[in-house]
Amino acid sequence: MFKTNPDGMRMEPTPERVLSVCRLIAQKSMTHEELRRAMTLGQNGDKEVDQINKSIAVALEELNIVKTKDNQLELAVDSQVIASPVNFRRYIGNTVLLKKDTTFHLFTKWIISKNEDIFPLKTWETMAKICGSEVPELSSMSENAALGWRFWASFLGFGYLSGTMIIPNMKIRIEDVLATTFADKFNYDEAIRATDFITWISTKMPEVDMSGKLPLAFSAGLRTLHELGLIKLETWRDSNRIFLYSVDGDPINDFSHITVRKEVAK
Amino acid sequence: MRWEQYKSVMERYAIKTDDMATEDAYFMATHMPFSQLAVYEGGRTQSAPKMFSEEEVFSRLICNPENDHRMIIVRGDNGTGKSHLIRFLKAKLENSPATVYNPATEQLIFLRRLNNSVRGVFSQLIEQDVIKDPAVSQKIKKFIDSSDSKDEAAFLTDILYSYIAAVSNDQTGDTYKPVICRDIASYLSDSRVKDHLLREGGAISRCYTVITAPSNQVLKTTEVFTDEDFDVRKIITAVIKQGDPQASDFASTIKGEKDEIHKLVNYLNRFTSEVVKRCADISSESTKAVFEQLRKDLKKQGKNLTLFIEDFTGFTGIDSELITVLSTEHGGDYADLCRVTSIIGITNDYYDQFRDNFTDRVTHQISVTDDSFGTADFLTQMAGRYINSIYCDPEILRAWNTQGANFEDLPINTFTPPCEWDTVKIGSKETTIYPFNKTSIVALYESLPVKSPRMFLKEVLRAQLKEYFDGKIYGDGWYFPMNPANVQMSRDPHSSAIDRIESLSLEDRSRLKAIFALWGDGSASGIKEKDGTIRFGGINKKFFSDIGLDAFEGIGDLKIETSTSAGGQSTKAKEPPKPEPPKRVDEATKSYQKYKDDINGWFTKNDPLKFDADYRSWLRDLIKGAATQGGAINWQDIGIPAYIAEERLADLGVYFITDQSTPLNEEKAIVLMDRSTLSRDALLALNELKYAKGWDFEGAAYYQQRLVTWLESEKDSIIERVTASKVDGPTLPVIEWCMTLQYLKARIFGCKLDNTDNYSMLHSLMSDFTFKDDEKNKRETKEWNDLIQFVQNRKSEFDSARTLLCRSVATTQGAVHYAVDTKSASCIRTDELLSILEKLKDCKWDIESELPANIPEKHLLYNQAALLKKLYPSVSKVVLAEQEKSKEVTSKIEEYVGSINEENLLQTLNSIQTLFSVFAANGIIGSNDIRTKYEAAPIDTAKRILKCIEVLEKADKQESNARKLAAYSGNALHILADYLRDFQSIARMAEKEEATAKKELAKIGGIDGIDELSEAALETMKNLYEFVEAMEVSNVTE
Repeated sequence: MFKTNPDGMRMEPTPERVLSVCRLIAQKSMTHEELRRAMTLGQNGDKEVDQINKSIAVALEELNIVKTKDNQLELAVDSQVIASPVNFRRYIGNTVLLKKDTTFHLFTKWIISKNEDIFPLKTWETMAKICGSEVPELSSMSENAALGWRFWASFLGFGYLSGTMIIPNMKIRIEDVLATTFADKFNYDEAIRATDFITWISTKMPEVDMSGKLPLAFSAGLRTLHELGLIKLETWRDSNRIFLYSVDGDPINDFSHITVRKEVAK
Repeated sequence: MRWEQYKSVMERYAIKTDDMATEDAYFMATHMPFSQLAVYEGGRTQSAPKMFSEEEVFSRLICNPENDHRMIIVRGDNGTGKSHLIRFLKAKLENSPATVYNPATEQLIFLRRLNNSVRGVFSQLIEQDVIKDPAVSQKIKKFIDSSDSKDEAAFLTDILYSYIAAVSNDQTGDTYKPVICRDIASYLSDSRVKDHLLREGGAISRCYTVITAPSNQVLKTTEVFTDEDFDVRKIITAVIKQGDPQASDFASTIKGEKDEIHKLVNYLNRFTSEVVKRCADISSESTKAVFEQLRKDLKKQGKNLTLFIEDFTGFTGIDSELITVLSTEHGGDYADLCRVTSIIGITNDYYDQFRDNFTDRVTHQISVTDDSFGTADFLTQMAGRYINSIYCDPEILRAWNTQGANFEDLPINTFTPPCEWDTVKIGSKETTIYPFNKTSIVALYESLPVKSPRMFLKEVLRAQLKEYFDGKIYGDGWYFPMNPANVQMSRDPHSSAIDRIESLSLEDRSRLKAIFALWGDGSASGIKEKDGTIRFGGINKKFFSDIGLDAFEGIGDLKIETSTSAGGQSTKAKEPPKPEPPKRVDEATKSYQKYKDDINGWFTKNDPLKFDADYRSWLRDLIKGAATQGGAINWQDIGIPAYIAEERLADLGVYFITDQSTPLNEEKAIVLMDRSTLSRDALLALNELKYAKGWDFEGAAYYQQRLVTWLESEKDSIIERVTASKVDGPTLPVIEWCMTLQYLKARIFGCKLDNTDNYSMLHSLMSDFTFKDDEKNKRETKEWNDLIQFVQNRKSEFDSARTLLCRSVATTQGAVHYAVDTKSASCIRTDELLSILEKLKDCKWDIESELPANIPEKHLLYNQAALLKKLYPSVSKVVLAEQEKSKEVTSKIEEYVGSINEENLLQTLNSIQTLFSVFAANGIIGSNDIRTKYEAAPIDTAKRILKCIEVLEKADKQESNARKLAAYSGNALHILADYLRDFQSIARMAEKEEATAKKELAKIGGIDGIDELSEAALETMKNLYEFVEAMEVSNVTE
């Protein structure tokens, strides 16, 4: 899922399975075979084994949450990383998602950049095809890869699944970054300049091109966080404004300052 | 001051409730010429009409220089302007030069709609000196006076008795035989029936209105009685039981018979005309005589008659006589009658009902249809004239009327709107229609439930202007403009954005939306024109300021206009859209609009939500996902088993929307939607999504934003209700409960659990345990058997727990619905199971004290806890019973073997083997089964018994009842008890054989020559006796 491009982004290693693999290893170091036996309770059906093998590969080779030592799989990170799905998500968000050479990154970046242009694309197959034609590195992008991507994309907070589509809204992704690393640079509950904020957050989210008007998914995420009271977007007079993706009818289309509430870190 | 004046002028002169009461100056100043009047010759409508303007109608039909006999019907639906046309024709005739209308040769009579009753009609006839016969005049005056002074109750009773008398005297047999008529009269006379008919709003009260009371309601007079007057089961039943025999007989015929009731209603309505005349004390002859006399008198005076009757409904009771006398053509046999031109206003309904009376008598029909008034031009012209008359100085207007009301000279007001505004041309002059514009006039007319000029005047012009003037007079508490039909802005996102402007009051938000929906282009977009003019939704900002909405700053960024508009047209408000030819609307579009109206009505008017079942299924697709598509919450990835999400969210009953029509228990809801702007937008978003079959539609980004915001604002509470746990708190240990139930069930059924390692244990805990009713599973205590029965009786509950355990720990890829698919193979979240297993092992499977104190009934996630709560006490009972039984069995075995140890057991078992050898040697046939059982090496049997003792002792030492149960589950007690039963059985056999041997010995002692044999036998018996003694058989009590 997070391999250096090209990557088939198979569907089987879902976040649920990968987390379960990591947690099982956290309980007890074990061999691949033991893990397979454990997760099938000795049944070892082909399908299940395939799911497990791929999930191990993601945990081991792509996320580096587990490692191999003396043929034994063991946890390679602090156990808190896998203490909850939220911790797991935030860990990935602050590590693997910073890599710019993965197929996951390239495809995510393309989808985000398309804004409303993805609305008419009614199938993942079409989406993969168009992306393949527009992004040379993803020319071999397949429908299955897009189908696999959607599970992790919705888990990591790039959008919300709706039928055969994804609603681009990075509320969860932004919230995770604000909850984990914002305080390293800024203070909660203090208005900061939008330009400073964007300069900072662009380093945390390389998948979003923040050089011009912010894309729809990122803008939608900010708007949702604002409406939920987790951040406050304001436009102060005579201040440099950052323009959100314009949405007709929405009261906020730009902001010069942002206040991130402490509640976001909960 | 001027606002008070405008309001006063409007209410007192320009737009009165009854336009016929309008004074002439205002009538003429506001008159709208009819241009499309359909004129038919004769009383039928088969042939195509000719289309006349009102001027043509006047010149061709009202002007009558040839003195042709004319009976002209002006037909139309209520409020379409019949009266207006009649009044105009009358005024036109009156103001015509002598060549057209000469009062010396033409008698003009105008009977108005005022006091729309028989009494009202007669009053006008007296006032206009139409009734020449003093006797008739006297009689009518008497009726008018009496209906003024007469007690209403007495009048009502008179009416009822008139009907009763009419029925009683009916000998025609047309509908009912005379004998039945008398039954009906008797039924109508029953006090219960009478009271019901005399009730307020009942049949008799309606008839009373027809006769005496002024009414604006046009009544189909034959419908005095309706089915509701008789279709009252309680009354009918009471009359059947307690009424006089005749009334009772008739009541029986109508009970439960809708057709019979309808027949009675139609029958009674036939008498209305007769009853009206009787109550008014006017005979048909006298009515006829009034008009005949009038025509004769006029003839004698050399005059003709032009009769304008605004509304014929008021002539109930005398209508047919009047038609007869008016339709009689002068000349020939009727040379003594003057010519009559009658112009009679009549509703289409009334005409259709009395078509037979009219068809052959009517010479012309003028049909006033919506073609005559429904166009945008007509409406704006009409509005312009009324608004002009309101803004004009009344004295100036009156002076104009006095001077002949020349249309070209019509005074134009000096009202100045706060900004450039739509105008209309009246003749050659322009006048403002402020505060309306052309768009709003058409839109407001289109939103009327009944579209007619009268309704437009009352419900649009007068109602809106009143609020506008009140706003200007009082300065606060603005209600203008109103939007009674709840017309919505076409740009929904803007409408929603207005609802979110918290700095504005709810009322102001509604007013803004009304302006954009009815006055503007449906959006609230702002634009700043080159000259600095700011418009929102196409409406000048100054208009908003004028009506107290200056705080509104538009939605979104103010666009700056850069191009120059040609001819300054851009400064004008938008022209109303030209009506497009009606498009064919497909079912999907109809549904889409239906849902949209429903959702908006629910939000803006607090109406109940009609199609909530559909909306709730949309919410289900959003939150849970569909059969093959995941939802917007990725349940399994955020730590909630897909199976639980699927099961908890599958039933539509768990989705609840405030004020939904479907009755549901809100307390059981998992997804709750309140009535808020956000909820409204979320529902609209789902409607758009459904209609567009995806997100490819205008405004999709906005709706996505609103939908996601709604979802995120509700997500935590939805998750908490799905999982019955706090988001930040510990999760409900459902899998732990399920696993414990499986463990206990296995133990109760005596099924083995593979304890080789944790994985084996987990695997066996997920098995489907069944009870095998075999020897091995026979239990020694009633309590255990009862517990088996308990589990078997609750098979479905235990099965559900197992399913929940197995399905909810399986990982799910994609839609949560896949979690219920038993065929899908998926790896397991064993990490979770292992943690639970370790925990349960640590607490020795005893989690009774951890079960929640309060357990909701029939709850997917609590059912297991409820079951455990019932199970644990039974387990305790079983354990106690097993302990006691173990002690008893052990103690009884000790009676045979002494202290239970290997040595004693071997001694006993060896003795048993010896005994069976003696039996065999002596040909004693004992139990083969027992003998075979004890043929095995005694050491093996001894070890087995000792093992059972060890298990039971171990069970006793277990720390929890669950573990004790597990220890007893192997059924060591049963094995031990079996040995006990064997020992008892063997002892009984030995005792029996001893007695037999003693008897045999006694016999042998009396026979010679068999001493040697006896010796040997005696020895054997002695040994046997000793063995029996050793076994203390004598102490055994069965």
